[in-house]
Amino acid sequence: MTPGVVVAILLFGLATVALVLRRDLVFKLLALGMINGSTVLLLVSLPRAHGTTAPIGVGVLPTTAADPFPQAYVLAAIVINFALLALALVFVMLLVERYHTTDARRIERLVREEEER
Amino acid sequence: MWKVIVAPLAAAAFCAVVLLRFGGGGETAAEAVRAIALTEATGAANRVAAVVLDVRLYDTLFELFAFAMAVLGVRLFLRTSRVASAETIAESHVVRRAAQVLLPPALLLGIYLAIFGHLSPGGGFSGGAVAATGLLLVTVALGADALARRFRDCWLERLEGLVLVVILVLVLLPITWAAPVASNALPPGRPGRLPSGGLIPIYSLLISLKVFAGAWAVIHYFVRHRGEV
Amino acid sequence: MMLVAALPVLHLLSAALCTVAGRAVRWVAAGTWLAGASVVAAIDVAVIQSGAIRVSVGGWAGRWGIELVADEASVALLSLLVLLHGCVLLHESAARRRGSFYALLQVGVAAASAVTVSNDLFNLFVLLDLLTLVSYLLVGYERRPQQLWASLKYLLLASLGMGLFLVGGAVVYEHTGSMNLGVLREAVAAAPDAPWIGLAGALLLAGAGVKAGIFVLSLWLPAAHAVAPPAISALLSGVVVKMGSLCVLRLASVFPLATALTVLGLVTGILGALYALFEKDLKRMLAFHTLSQIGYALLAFGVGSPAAALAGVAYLVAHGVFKALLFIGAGIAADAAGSSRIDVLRVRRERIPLAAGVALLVGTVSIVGLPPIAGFWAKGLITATGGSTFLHAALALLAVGTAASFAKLLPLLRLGPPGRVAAGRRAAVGVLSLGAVLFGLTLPFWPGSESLRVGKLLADAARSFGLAAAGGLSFFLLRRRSIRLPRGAFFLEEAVLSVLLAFLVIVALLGASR
Repeated sequence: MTPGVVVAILLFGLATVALVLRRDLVFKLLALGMINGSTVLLLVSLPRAHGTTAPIGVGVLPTTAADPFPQAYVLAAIVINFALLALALVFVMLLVERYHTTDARRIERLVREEEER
Repeated sequence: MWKVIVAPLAAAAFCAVVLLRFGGGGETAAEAVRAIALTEATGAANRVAAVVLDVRLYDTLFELFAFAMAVLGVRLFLRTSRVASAETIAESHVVRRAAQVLLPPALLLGIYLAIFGHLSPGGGFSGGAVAATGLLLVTVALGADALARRFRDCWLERLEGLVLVVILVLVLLPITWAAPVASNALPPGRPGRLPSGGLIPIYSLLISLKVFAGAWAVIHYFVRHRGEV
Repeated sequence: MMLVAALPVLHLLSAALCTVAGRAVRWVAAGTWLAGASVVAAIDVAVIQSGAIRVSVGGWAGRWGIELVADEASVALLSLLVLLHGCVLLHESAARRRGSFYALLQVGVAAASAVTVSNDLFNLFVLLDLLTLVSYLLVGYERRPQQLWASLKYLLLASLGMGLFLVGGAVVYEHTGSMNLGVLREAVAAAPDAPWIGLAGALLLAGAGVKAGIFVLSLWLPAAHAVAPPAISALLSGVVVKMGSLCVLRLASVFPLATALTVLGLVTGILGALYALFEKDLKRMLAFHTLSQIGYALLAFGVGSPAAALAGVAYLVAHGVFKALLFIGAGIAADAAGSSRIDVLRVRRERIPLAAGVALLVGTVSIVGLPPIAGFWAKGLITATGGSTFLHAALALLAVGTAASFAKLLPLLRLGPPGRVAAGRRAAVGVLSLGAVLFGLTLPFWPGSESLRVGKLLADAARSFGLAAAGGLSFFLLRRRSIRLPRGAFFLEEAVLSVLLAFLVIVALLGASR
């Protein structure tokens, strides 16, 4: 267990608390970004992935270099998280334009009232 | 509010369970990664690039489409939505000047990262993103329309679609021939040289084009819709 | 058989073409459907003749690269995907959708077809996220505020789930040095008591479960599937949720999940049927029944034998066909009557066109499990594959609950006037009804269905009629009561908490079963 792993897991937990308790939708998206960031941190700081040099360069021996696979996973995860957050923001913008508030509970209540009418 | 009590407790229990049972640390990368000679097989000195654009190219393809979906979604939902008034742009002279000065180096750095992605840290996604950052700066400083005049939107849309088609055609062959990309379509070359890594630099370049064009669209639509700064 | 890897790439190619095709986009989509269908047919034949196909993409060994495995379960879901993809294209042919709609659809089909054959955890993570993105955009496509909010809630919960999934993937990578499910299976078999196994299993199950339609995990589902456009609801309930369930099945083949799946299946089935029973909106009721029917499949997966798992998959396919039919029928009926509330539909039942009547009739008979349509055989297959008395009692209870909630629709099940329904929508109803009936009639002759015998079938038929009658009776007894079940759990914040708590319960269940 490396410090990175511990920090990543604690961040994940903290972000879920924020996801539940912060009422502002933008803060909820920030919490989501934190969740994604913590998984990225977790993957690159796995004890198994540890090496003394970067896995880049011609003379670098595979025996001492860091594991390139988690780094490749992280690249993919970052791009996907970017896509998720960008699209979430678009819908938040549309909802805010409609209801003039970023309060998630208020929006949820208004949506439900409109639906039942 | 019961949530104020339950949420931290649940999260704490989550952290405790995961940390207590995580285990590991018995093995390090060296022992496992030795089994696979990435640089020798692909010709790419950057082994991360070898993984992203050869060993797990199939994943990267879907990842690229996740990005494409983001661009498509932003375009689809913000195109006809209400546009914020253009008078919100009131940056100082220094900011506007600095943006113009910084744009060329940002573009240059982006191109460098894309072309040398198989030799040093970088690659298509980071190259495209860095180049788009330059655009972001200019868009924020000068306003969305200043650049929109230079980049015609429909033209860029076509370009993005075509880049995707080219990448897919290039990918389809190695995937269906069941052979590693680099050593199949083009020779891997001598690791460390610029023309090495087979198709990897070409993929990098195409991906950076796609990311640049896509990020431009995302930036453009978001900036056009911002309110008062 | 590199076709297995080429199929998703083919659909991606067509998605890219759709964005640049302009007016020809419908022809591109139709052509791709044809090409995709023939590729799937080829894969079907190969798998049925010579067993599972294994492919290492790009020739990299599965431990490092991505390994694809096409087995019976993948083939079944691929065929379902082709059928529903075709029906959505038919259904939307009248709607004059733009290129972006078809591009989204193609990317969704590509991701779904890749999920069916994926044997790699990280690949599954990427694909499930891509499916999330596509369904998110499709649910919100018409931009009604309800759709936007339901979709946003879906995205937030699905991302949380995928976060859990990736943490699970990290645990697996730390201990096995690979994301490959085969490597993982060997590692679990070698040291079944290691503490990390329970943790990884719970994280991955909770993550995939958010997308799989498990009640405590997928609380976003009723809202999203009820407000989406009808064809999209059909696709989401018919295929996208099934991809999550397939992931759960793949995980069950690696981790000791039997207890957890039985408990989750029971909770999902009973709560889903209960909420459906007291639901007043047709589309929302159907959405709740997606949950309850996933409960059936989970109970089958929980038995643990390969035959039971296949029976569960057969039920997923049958449910995909008739739930798509029900959603499309509900869409047509709601368009004609101007509302999807069941009481309004009852009053205006004269207006419900023939196509909607047929769809609702075939779908209801099928979901309640009456012979000879798909649902009956698939349910029979599950009970035929063994399991305890407890399981049989649970399945019977679910059948009664399903019948009771569908008894509400009885006044709507009539063959009305032809009405003005677009040809494409009628064609979709026809194809799906035929599919449900044919699937039901041919299922006993499929390989692996030897457990269905004639004598047992008669008993099954008698029992399913009995259960349906019991359901109808309980509806009759309950019809005057208007019970409002708590709705709070479906709010965003409560749903997030529910995912966390469900994860903790799953960890405990995995620890207990060890």
